[in-house]
Amino acid sequence: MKDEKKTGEPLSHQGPAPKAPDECVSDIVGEAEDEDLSSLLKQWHAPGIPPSLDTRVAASFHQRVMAPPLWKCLLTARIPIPVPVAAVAILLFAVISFFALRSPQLGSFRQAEVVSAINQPKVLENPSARGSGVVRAPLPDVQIPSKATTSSSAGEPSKADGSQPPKTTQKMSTITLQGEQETIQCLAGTEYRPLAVPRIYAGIVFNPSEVR
Amino acid sequence: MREVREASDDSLLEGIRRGDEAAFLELYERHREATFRFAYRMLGSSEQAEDITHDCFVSLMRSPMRFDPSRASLRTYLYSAARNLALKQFRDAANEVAFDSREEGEASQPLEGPLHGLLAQELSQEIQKAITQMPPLQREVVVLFEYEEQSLAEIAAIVGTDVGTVKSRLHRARARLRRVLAPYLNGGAHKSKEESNHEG
Repeated sequence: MKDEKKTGEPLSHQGPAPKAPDECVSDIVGEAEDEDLSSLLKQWHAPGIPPSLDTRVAASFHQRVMAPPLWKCLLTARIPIPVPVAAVAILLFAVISFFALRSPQLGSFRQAEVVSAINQPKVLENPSARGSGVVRAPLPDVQIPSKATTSSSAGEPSKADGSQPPKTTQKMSTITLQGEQETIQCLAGTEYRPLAVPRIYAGIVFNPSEVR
Repeated sequence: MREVREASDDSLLEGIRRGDEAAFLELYERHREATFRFAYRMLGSSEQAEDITHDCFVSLMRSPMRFDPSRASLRTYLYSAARNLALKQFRDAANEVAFDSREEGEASQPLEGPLHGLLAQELSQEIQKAITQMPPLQREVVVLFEYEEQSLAEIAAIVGTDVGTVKSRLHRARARLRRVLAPYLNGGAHKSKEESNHEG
């Protein structure tokens, strides 16, 4: 595409062509012929601006320049979700939340909170017991409603001799505190699964799984 | 609104940078026709010219900082952008016509003379055909000089070359057009002369 300038090559002149200023190309090829050619070329008319061009340019301007910033788009964006999908999502969220609130881990957390909020029971060393016992002070009769444990693992009922099986999660029965001083013994090393809903009566932490 | 109409191109560009829609529309109305005409005469198609004109102004609104008013006018910038887009279309279309043919013999055969009763519309079509058949580099200088009335220095700034090269291309382009459109020059005197030679 390189264009070499022709030098000293007149077209309509017999002698060397005079130097023409930049704005007077017609001096080289003949002014009359240039005017005829220019007049002829002017017969070609370009069409008018199509209306679609104005519409496209205006739309592009609004899209590119007038568009809100990204942070605003993220804050005001909407995600269209069908109603059935939204209903199912809400239902699933509710079910998951329900079971999460009733989980044992959460119950033990609540038990720990309760223990710290009340007077700590006295822990006495009982040589006859293989573990530490909890001594309870004389108490009035307290009715404890029977309630099955909510532990996931199946529990074994407490035996008549009072020995506690390991990993006891047994059903609670109606127990009446006689007002005597009773010592609750537990086997050392026994794993106890706390109840999902512990009961606290008169300042005593009562774990039905430890009952003889 | 009146202030927008009387504002210079530089101030309107400043308004575009701020997102002023009125400034952009005013600037668009000032230069859209010239840009469209140039693109149309380069490509010979109204649809392609519309696309190129749209792309030129989109690039301006997207990056108004690219235009440096100290180097050239906005009209020159738009012509240059339209020219680049048109040449890109030529390359994409794999046009086999040389961009700048120096062979004078490659010019098309002279058209049939006006004696056959061509109407003004047909004449316009013939001129369009003659110009669109020219190599792109010659075509652009003819369009810018004859139709857009740009000076040689401005044309040189648009096409990215020196004035001497522009003059050379324009010289060859006009010679080519004179040869192709000879039957329409001087009222068909060229054909009359040929007929008399044949008879004699």
